[in-house]
Amino acid sequence: MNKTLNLLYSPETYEKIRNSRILIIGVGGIGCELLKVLTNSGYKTMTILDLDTIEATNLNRQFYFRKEHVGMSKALVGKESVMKKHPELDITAIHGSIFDEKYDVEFYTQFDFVLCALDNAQAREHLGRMCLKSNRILVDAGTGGFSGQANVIKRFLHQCNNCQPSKGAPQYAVCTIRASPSQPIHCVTYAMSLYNLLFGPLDESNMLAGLLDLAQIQSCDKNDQELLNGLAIRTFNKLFYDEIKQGLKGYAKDEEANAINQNKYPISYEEGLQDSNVYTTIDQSKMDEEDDKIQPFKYYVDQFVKTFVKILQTPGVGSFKFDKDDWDSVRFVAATTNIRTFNFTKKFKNIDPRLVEGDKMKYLSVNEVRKMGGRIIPAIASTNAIAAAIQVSESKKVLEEDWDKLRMNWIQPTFDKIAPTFLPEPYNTCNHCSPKNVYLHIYCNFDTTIFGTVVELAKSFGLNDYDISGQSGTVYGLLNKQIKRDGTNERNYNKLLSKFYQRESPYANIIFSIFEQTSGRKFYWQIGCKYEFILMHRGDIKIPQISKITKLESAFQQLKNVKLQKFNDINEARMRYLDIYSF
Amino acid sequence: MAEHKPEERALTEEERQKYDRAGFIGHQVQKRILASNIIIVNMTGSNTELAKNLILAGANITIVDNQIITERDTDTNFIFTKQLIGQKRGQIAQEELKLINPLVTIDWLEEFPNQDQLIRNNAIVTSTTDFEEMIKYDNLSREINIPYYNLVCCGYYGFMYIGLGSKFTYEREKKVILQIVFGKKLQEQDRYKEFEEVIAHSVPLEQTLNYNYKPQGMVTNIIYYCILMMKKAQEIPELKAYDPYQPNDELLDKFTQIGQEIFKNANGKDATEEQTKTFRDFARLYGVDYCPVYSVVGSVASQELIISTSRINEPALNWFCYDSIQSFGQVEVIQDLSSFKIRDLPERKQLIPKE
Repeated sequence: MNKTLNLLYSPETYEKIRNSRILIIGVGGIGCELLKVLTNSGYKTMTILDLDTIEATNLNRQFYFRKEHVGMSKALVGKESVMKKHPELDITAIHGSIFDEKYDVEFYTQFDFVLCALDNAQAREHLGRMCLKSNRILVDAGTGGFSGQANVIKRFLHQCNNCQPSKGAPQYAVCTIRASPSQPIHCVTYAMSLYNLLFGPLDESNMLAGLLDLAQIQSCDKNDQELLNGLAIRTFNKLFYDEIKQGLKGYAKDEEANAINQNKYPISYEEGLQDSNVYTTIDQSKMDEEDDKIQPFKYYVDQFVKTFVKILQTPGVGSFKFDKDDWDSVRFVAATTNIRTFNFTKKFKNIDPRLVEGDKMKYLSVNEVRKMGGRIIPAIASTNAIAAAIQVSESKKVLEEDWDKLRMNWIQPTFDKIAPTFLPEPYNTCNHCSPKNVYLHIYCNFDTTIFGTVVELAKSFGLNDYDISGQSGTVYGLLNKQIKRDGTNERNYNKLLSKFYQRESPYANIIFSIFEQTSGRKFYWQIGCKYEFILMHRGDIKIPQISKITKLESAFQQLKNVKLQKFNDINEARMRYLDIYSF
Repeated sequence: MAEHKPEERALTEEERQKYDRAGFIGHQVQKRILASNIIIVNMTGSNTELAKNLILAGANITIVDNQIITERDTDTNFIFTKQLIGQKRGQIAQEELKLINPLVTIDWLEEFPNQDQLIRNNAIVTSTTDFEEMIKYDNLSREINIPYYNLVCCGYYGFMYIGLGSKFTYEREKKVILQIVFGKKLQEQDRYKEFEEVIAHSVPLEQTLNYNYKPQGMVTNIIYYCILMMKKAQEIPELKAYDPYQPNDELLDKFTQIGQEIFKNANGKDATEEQTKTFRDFARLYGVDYCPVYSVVGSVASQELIISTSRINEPALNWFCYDSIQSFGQVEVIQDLSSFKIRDLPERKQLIPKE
């Protein structure tokens, strides 16, 4: 009998909290703090999911993990540590990725709400879509440094994670990286690609594929120090002298000096070792961290060769990938970055050669390269603790259905430590959470139901004139003339659902979408609705049925709200069919 | 007494790797945290959270606690569980926290240290609900010149008192005003990072309880009035002795009345129904730990302690108030900050390289 929680909660709320089943995605910084708060606020049943393993740099904030756990699964160790303190809890730990097929829409319907503790935008968007399809409330949070935010997303009421899609990681054109860098990030990208090319597995998508003869490097005798040294120097000269001097006036014959960009400066290994200039105008005399300073240029030339040899002698070379926590790879990439910068930095020969005025190019310290290339998110335990605590406070409001009290919470290092603003509304044009999207859960037996059932169901909703799309494109073309002609329609019509796609989990949910929106003058009324038929396998059902249990009364409400004054009879027919087919 | 000067210690290789992701706070701050020691009195929920965050950042702590773990501790504290009832609270806290970060030093005392031991520390943290005790510690802090923090969790609400001692010198970055000429920034101007030194001091706690104060902010900070309410209520013996675990509606009505009077006196109008409910709940749950709230109070305190230990960046003064239902947490500055002496640090001027 927990006297404190009985003081804090009303009996109804405490009952709801005790009986709620929650899903926590991510057991990292925010995830560990979430586990701490939830298990000490009365929550008993939870499932935790993470695909990552524990690393040494996690230990400054993910306090359920110890030094001896490095390398083990975050979800499994998290469960073990929590159960040690609270053996009466019911925790399921899953070491897996949310993108896996088996975590389909139906998987999410077993929980009351979902807590998100992810660290990247792609996974957040996927999770947002799954919560919309399964109609689960999502309590989201994110932190970086001393700032962060936490908010609740309820379908059709609040803006979802897909309303403003993220741009993703910045991509650079291959020619920019290989031939005409103009910013420090281009040189860093070149350096990382070079590392992966030299010391990683064969990869055709590497931007520098074909630049070097890798066979010679990978098959040499790793014990012969002199051989490796020679190889390093030859590689240096190939990349930073031979490649750069192509078509350059003063290096090539007059008729061949036709490179478009003449502002290139080849440097050989021998020349580089003579250059003691420190190419920066910042006063570095007060800095005490060597890795924060720009070093004399010959330091980078020397480092290139030294790290090249060291990495080649490391066991496992040939399978490496740039790792921001592996200092050999960081130093190699930093050296390469700065030599590459030298190659492409305009110099005023008559004036101080250190001046890079008018250029965006600049030399970078080791720590700057690491931050830029590794895309490190700064993290500290206190911000994560605040974000997790706010998530749980908001969850209580969700359980009590106190929608008006929900806020977007901003965590800041200023005197307004936690500032609330109103939650933004959904975008009208969002393809996922605008109220014009109708999600229907349909139970049927995949082994006995053919795809034709979906077609007939769609037709009964008056959707005769639209194409049906699956996960990889149009599967039934009611409008598409190409598909009508080549017989795809007939083939797909008779396919059994369990064999419709070749999948590892053949009974995982299948989703078919129909966009009630076409261009052209033929259809002069455009509703702009998307119907998603989310098919769930049930072995015991003979006739396909639409599920009411998953709280889809909103689907009825939505169809009512879509105003089709001219087509009242279609609307009424849809309502009737919804009623007949659901249970 | 002379001011405590922060010491520094370089990082070992293992520490470098462990504290890598917190590198954004700055090398100097990290080195000063590693050489610091903070006294934490009584392991309530907020202090446990504070201790956890401090040791994860690399600070050393001294726990002062002679209490036995009771049911009240195990209800919501994430370190103390039911099997530990009856054992010494300070000792268990020391053992558990040591597992969380073996690289820091965690001491445990059963009695508050004497002045000679005290002055070697960077801060004193308590978690008392008694205003008289708060004033006593606050006077001590200004006498020996060591910052003092007091964290209290009251159910859905929480607050923290911050006292920096009678002389507290810190450095901060100057806010640079860019020259704007005819609506355009002068792009060619060299931009500099400049630093200044501020000599701050805290006024006595009683002077930070202003019964005429009107909090500024997006949301009316009702928690500040709740703090005033409790201070006034503790002058009445039966209200001071109120135990949240034995609810008494009559006494709660008296608390609420005091709160309403204070609000009306400061604002000239009556408190709304929701605000009145807040007064009542604050008194009803005064000192009761609740994990989502003590986590916030303890974490904000840990961030402030990092700032005040390293003496780099602007520390908060005088009260931090948190309301988990209205979702706001803000610092209320009661004393006049313009009296602080500011001194330029021209030798620290740094050129910001052009992007």
